[in-house]
Parts: sequence; C-alpha cells; structure tokens
Amino acid sequence: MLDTNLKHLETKEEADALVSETENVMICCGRMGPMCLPVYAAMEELEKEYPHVELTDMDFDIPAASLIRNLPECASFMNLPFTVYFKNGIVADVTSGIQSKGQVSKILDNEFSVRTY
Amino acid sequence: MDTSLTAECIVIGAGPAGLNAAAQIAARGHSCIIVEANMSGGHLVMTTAITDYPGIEAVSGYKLSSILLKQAQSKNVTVMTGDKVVTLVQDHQSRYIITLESGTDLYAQCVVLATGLRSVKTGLTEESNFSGKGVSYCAECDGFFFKDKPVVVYGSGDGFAEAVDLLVSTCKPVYHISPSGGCSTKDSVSTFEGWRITALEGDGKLSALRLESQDRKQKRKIEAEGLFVYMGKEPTDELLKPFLEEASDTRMSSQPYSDLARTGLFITGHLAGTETLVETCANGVSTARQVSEYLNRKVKVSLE
Repeated sequence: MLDTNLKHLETKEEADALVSETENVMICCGRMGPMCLPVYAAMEELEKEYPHVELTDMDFDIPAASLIRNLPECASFMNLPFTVYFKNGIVADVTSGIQSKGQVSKILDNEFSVRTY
Repeated sequence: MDTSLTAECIVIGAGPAGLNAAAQIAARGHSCIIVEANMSGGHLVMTTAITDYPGIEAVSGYKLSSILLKQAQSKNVTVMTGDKVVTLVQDHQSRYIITLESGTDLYAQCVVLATGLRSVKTGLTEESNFSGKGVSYCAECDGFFFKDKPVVVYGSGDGFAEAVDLLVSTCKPVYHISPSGGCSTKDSVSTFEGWRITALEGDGKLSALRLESQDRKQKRKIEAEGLFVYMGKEPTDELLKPFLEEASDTRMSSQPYSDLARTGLFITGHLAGTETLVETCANGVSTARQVSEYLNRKVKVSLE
C-alpha cells in the first residue's frame, strides 16, 4: 500500500467497481519514487477543489494494477507513474511520469468540468 | 479570476525554506501569504527518505512537506499553490506588487524569495517529445522499463552515480555521457567524458542519439532506448535577477542580498546558497526574524 493520504485502491474488484459506478475517477498508479510523489502531493492539494472527482492512488506492483498497466492507452508508457482519468468508465485521458499541479488540474478541468471553488 | 490581495509579507516558493519562513513570519504576528507555482514542498517532496533531520529518525520528503504545510496553515498563513508569479515589481511607495498567472495581484511591504532550484534540462528540442518515450529523470522509477536494453545516463548532477549503479544491474549496455566531466569509473560502463548529446532519434520511441566531442571534431551515433537525464540543478532566479542588476548599477555590490533586504526583498533557502535540508529550514527561520524586524522598524518609523 502506498504511504499517501489519498484513497488507495487495493483490489481489482474495488477498482473495477469504482471505475464502473463513478462518473469521474482519477487513478495514479505508481510507487513511492521521486517522480510519483509530486503527483500524489498535487492530488492531495486538489482533492478539496474537485469533490466531484474521486482522486485515488494504486500501488504499481499489486495484481490489481493490471487494470491500469494493461490499458492499451498505457502500452507505450515508460515512465512512472501511470495516471488515468476515467469518465463514466471510459478512459478520458492518460499521462505518464511526473506532472505538475497545473498539468493535473488542467486535465481535471478539461475532462470533468472546472473546479468548484 | 481577477482579484487582489494584500499582506505584510509575501513569500514566493513553498519549499522547506519558504514554508518555514512563512510560518515563523506569521507566528511573529505579521500577515503572510505564500505563493507557489506547483504544489507545496518543492524538491523536498521527491526525497524518498530523510535520515538526518534533527529529532526525527526517518521521514519521507512527502510526509515532511505535508507537516511543514500544516504548520504554516496553523499559523494562519494563506497558501496559494498552482499559481505562478509572472512579475515582481516595486512601486514608487516601496510597495511590492506581484502579479500571478491567474490574474491575481498581491501587494506587500516586503517579499521573501524562496524559489530554490530546478532541474537543468538537456536543451535538446526533442527532449519533451521523447519524455515518457525513452527520456526519463529517475532511474529508480523507470529503470525496470529498460531491462536488457541499451541506456544512457547523461550528466553528472546529483544522483547520477546511484543511477549508474542501478542501471548496470538491469540494462546493457550502459553509457555515461557527461559534458562537464566526472564520468563513472565502472568497468561495465562506456563513458564519453566532455561529450554532449546533439540530437535524439526514434520513431515514436527513442532508439538512438547523436553526440559530439567538446572540440566538435568527433561525432558518434549510439543506439539507446533509454536516456536518463542527471544534469544537476540551477537556481530559479528570474525574479531576483532584475533587482540584482539594478543593485550592481548602484551602491550595492559586495553584499547585494543584505542591501536588497534593506529594501524589503529577502532571499532564503537554496537561492541564498544553502545546501542541506536542515540548513535550508534554519535559513527560512532566520529570514523570518529579519523580516519581522524590518516590518517592526517600518511601523515604528510610520508612528514617528
């Protein structure tokens, strides 16, 4: 389990249910490495601004991470973390590697409508 | 958004120096806003384990950043993250005006610059195109994607030696190219000391790179699927430079930072030359004391 303050997805069932039953979902799938940590930190800061989006993380090395690792959209990725944005169960956007808070919020605004504050 | 906010002091940069400075300025009774282009913590967030912070056995930079942020917020510091400072100027009343990317203007009697360091890029136009497609900034994070594949470590900045150690155990061959020298001495690593990369090539993914020697007489092409950039860090000093240039034109020369402080512009943390985390945090705290003394002097003068 990742040592962050975000909601963790730990099983495939839990991840499948979240993606299929929730309108707006962001999953950051990584490790506790230098390129992943800033993305988790940005997500923590953005959580309050996007209450209509489920901002979650997932350990890259657990079996459930196959949900993200095996996505065709992530097939060519060679940087951790893999970050996937789901809208009504469909992949809306993906990124790999370190992202700034501005880059994350831009995608959240584009895909899930603007922040609420 | 088009608004304005006023505080006695604005801190620019929410790394360890900035957060400590802001918390201590507020603790001394002054209104304070801290503004940060990205998220709070700066490079500290990327540090996986800190083992030399006084009084703490071990902590991740991620956790420590979160604690520093909460400490600042608990002292009523207004924290604005994800908004970049576009301009910093001083008006004819010696008041500082900061304009943010969002359109917000901030007004303050003094400013603390705690913008720290940033990673040096390769300067190659193709770097961003191949980011995530072969170009990486962390061997620890991404080395396993290149198992048994040819990779290059570029530069001799912080962490390059650890990167080489890690990559030789998973990738082959491993090259180390360093324009500034200081190449790896490992037998299993092919080195190009004093060489620089001139171009990245590949069809969607990195497959080769071109390099040339310092005197530009020798050129090579090597096959590589991964490029790990370790070019070091440089000061984020764009906001400071105009003030330093102005200072060098006038009386300020031998101690420009002290002279700038007399006008209400304080420099702290890595930008002021600190190296370790403890030094950086302590520098933030001592800057806060100077800021408080400056603001108290201003009040005293205005009362007189």
